[in-house]
Amino acid sequence: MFERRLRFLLVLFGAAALVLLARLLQLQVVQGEVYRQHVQDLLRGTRESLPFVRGGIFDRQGRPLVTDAPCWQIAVDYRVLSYDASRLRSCTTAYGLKRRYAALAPGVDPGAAFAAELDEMWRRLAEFGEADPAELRGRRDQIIARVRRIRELVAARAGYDDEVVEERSAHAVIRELGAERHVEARTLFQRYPWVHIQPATVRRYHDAEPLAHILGRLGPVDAGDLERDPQADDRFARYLPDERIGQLGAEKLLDASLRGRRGELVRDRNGDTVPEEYLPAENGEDARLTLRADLQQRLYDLFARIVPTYPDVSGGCAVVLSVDTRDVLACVSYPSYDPAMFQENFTQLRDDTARLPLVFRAGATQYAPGSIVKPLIGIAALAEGKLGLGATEHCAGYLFPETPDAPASKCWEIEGTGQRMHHGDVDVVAALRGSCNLFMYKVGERLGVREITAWFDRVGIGRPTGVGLAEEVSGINPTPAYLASRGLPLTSGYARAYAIGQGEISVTPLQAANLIACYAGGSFRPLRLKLGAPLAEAAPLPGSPAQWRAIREGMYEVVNHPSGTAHKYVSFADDGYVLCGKTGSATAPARPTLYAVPAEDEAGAADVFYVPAGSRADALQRFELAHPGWTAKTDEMAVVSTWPADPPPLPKRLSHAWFGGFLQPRGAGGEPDWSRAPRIAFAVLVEFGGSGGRVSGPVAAELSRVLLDTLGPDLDPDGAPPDAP
Amino acid sequence: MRRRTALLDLTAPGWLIVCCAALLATMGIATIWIADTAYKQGHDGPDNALKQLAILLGASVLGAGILKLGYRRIARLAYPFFFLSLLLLIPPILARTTHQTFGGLVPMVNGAYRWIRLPLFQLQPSEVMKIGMIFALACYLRYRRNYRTLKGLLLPVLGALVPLALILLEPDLGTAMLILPLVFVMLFMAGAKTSHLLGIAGVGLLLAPLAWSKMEGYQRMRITAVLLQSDAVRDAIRRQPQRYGFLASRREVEYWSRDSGYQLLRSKYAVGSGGLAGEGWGEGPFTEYALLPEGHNDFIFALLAHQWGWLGCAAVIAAYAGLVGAGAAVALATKEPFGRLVAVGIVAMLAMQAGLNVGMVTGLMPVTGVTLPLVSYGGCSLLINVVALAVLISISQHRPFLLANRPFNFALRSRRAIPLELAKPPREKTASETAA
Repeated sequence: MFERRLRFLLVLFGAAALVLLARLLQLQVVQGEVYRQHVQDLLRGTRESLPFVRGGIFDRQGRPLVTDAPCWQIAVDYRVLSYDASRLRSCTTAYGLKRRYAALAPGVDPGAAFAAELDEMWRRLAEFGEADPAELRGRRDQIIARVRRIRELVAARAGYDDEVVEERSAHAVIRELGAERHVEARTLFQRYPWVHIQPATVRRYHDAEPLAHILGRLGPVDAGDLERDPQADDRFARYLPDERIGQLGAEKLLDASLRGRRGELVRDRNGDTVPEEYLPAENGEDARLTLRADLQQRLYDLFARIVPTYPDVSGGCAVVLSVDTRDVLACVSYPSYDPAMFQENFTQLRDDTARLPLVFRAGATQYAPGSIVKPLIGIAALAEGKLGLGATEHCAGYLFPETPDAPASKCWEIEGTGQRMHHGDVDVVAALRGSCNLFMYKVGERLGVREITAWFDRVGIGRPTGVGLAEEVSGINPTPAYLASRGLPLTSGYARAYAIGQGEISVTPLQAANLIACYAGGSFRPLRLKLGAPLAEAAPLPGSPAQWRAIREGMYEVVNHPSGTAHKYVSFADDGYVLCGKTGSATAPARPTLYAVPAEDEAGAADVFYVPAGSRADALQRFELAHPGWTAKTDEMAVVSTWPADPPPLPKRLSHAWFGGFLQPRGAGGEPDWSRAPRIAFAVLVEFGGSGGRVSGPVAAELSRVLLDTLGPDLDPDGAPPDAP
Repeated sequence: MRRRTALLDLTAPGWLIVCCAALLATMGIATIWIADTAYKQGHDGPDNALKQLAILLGASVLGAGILKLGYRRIARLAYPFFFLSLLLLIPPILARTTHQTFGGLVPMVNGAYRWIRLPLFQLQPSEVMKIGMIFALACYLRYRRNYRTLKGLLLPVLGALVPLALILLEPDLGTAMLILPLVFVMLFMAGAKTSHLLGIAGVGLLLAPLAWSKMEGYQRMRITAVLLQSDAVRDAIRRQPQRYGFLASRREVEYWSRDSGYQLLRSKYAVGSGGLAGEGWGEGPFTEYALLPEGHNDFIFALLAHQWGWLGCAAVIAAYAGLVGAGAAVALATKEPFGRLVAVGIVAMLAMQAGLNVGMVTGLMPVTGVTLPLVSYGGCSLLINVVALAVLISISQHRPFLLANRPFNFALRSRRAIPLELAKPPREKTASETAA
């Protein structure tokens, strides 16, 4: 019996041994190659991402506006960066701290030794980066907060909370090191294996203050960007959570082509590069804008010179277009800011609610167009047969006698005198010359809202201009449908208001410039900001050449006829060109700059906070961000100060000053040569500049001189300045 | 009755045992040496290997002493030894319940208290318990037959459950998993009724779900980690997490390769990449870069397989087979009941421990802290195993009783023992032998 049981036991053991041998055979011989491959993969463990160089943005002649320059950055492993005692274990395994502190005297706590070493590292970092230790701590806290946020987001998406990649990677603490400092950093931080000196790039702006709004800026990727990532499937091209991508302006518009494709470097366990697996980064493509940087700079300088001379003027903008291609040659918003110092100056820039340096006036702000729409009403009436060439209307200064309950439809007042213009019998040329409201009221009534807004639509009002900037607004074209949606009746009063560019209608300076280009060229075409983008189809506007000529003659006489509205303010004399244009003034209320917000906290304590903001909503939003825990009493909010600081009492009104113009080639006799088409059109707006002619007129004259200076006598967008080498 | 007392005057099974043990210990020390130099990247010498060698030599001296004394003197000490082992199990449990190390006497290693730190080496009470259990059980069973009844079987089984429970408290799942089958094998070999043993095992199996629910998460993960090796199982859990949630959560599946499956995967990589003939001693990425945690310890077989391939593994298994075969021959040859049961117990202990360890390294068994006997680094385990083999050799050196009942042979359907029979007289030496 014992022998039998022993035999049974031995057979059992033998069977087990056979099973094990078979399993070993399977692992080692049958699948040996597979496992060998796994081990090879294991050996080339560390993969490093190689950054691409983001493409530069250049002007139409290749002047650099913003480019990427290579640099170095000092990054610290997150486990060390966010060091707290609970992460010591993770650090221990990652950086072999056991081995590092093995030689310590017995009794010395490795945790304390490590903490002391970290203190020393932060001290060195602060010293090396010439940063305040507190500032460095701030950066560290920011990184920690961002990584925690990412973890929350990932946890919300995945349904469970777990460590994210960011918690195992290094984050930049000191950026933008030059090559020589990089060597210094290497030697200084060599002893800390958790400090990584990484290649990086820095966005370098080249005299970009005049272009700050157009160029836009880079910003960190947010959760929404990650979801919308067009290249989410390409691990070399998709957004990294800590990447900075184009968030505004041309940086956003051109982001897809400016971004490149990251490369990859694989290191084996000895830290050597594996040559077969080296993938170089593909740099992003450079892009060119249609802008002329030299023109832009000079126009910006012009505003910088002129704006401070008027106490009430808060800023201005100018847009210069090529009439043929509708290329945007210059697009100035004054005041602007230095994009290289944006981070540093942000609070100051944001709180400057008087001058609004962050606002992209040329594209992201809409103004009533005022009288610069009058030529459009003129050509519309002529082309639609509502007005004959040479037919006159009588202007007596007002349409009907003023009564207390009906506001008068008046012609304009001569500024400062309170005296009403009465133009007498005027035809379309004379009406444009004198900017006669009465003429336009009558013609506008005849056209009606439907026709007028159809013409507004033909010249692009109420639609994006085509430059493609995300922050652009569309303006308002008050079509009958628009009025109906607001519950407004379709009455002739609206037609009269729209005929002089007042009421609901509003345009951006970009749209206004395109409107002027339509007057100059007789056809509409969307604007173009990216050089090399296909030209949009031109849409010719109705109207016979004679009718168009009448409109342009009217604009000629605005500047060059003794009774023209701009004549006494504009002095522009050139052998080759005459300045044609149209003045306009858009009534505007004073702009709030500071709000008083009375508020209560949970305990019932009341206080009044002063919030710099341009509107109630903005003030409330900023208040809630800045003072959590306080509840604002919204109905007691009050405007404390406005721009201009002392608006004149009603019925005097403030207004923005428009001037839209084009340079018409001149014939031999000094008269305009209407057979040659103008090449350049522009629009100028001076905020709170008052009447169009007085303030914007001189700017327009200066601008025309700058144009001739910069583009040369042919006004060729690609022409070199006459005195250029 | 004559005993061989000269040190080198060994029986044939004795020589086999010495050769196999020497082969295993040599492979072990060679691998520990490599692990030392690779894992410490030359900062320290191969001190683990030297320590292991020193303990091997010391254990051999102790073994020689046992040979001199003869194993039968040990038999008298079996019960005191067992109670001493039980006492030794107390400090780790005290340490665990009070979370104190008693001044470093009972250190915590990887969350468990399994060792008692002595001046020269660390004592592992559960290892001592294994051999203590074999001696005590053999001593208890040698002159009895009442364990052929269910009532009589209960005492040894319950007696075994006491140290088992203490070991589980440490916790040392590996040793616990070993002791229970060891007791069963010894009872089985002593002639307990198969139906009784199967019945007790069946009750144990019925309690398994209860044990499963009482287990700590990490212990459960160790068991499921074996199942999660299969892509099919992982896919199934991923697709139907509710249905298979009792096995592992989706999260555990996602992080299996970094978490509970990490050690197992690394171990399989090391074994698999060894191929047929292996990378050679001290060669290969695993010995160069220290890719395998615990490579000198519980997972030494993986490094061994990495260096010497399938052929090396076969050699190791053959060596264990040699030990088992020699032990079985010793058990058969002796008619002394204590020696016979001890021999069987030692053989079963070695075979099961080796099988568990190799199964764990190759992904057939859950990862538990079972060492590879004679090979793994660990002074206490090595000492105990060498002592056990010395006892085995000592048993083989005792001439069989001339007049003896063949112990543990019970008639199948009768309670009566087979009547006394005359043992075969020892074979007369032939002329050639005498001449030699």
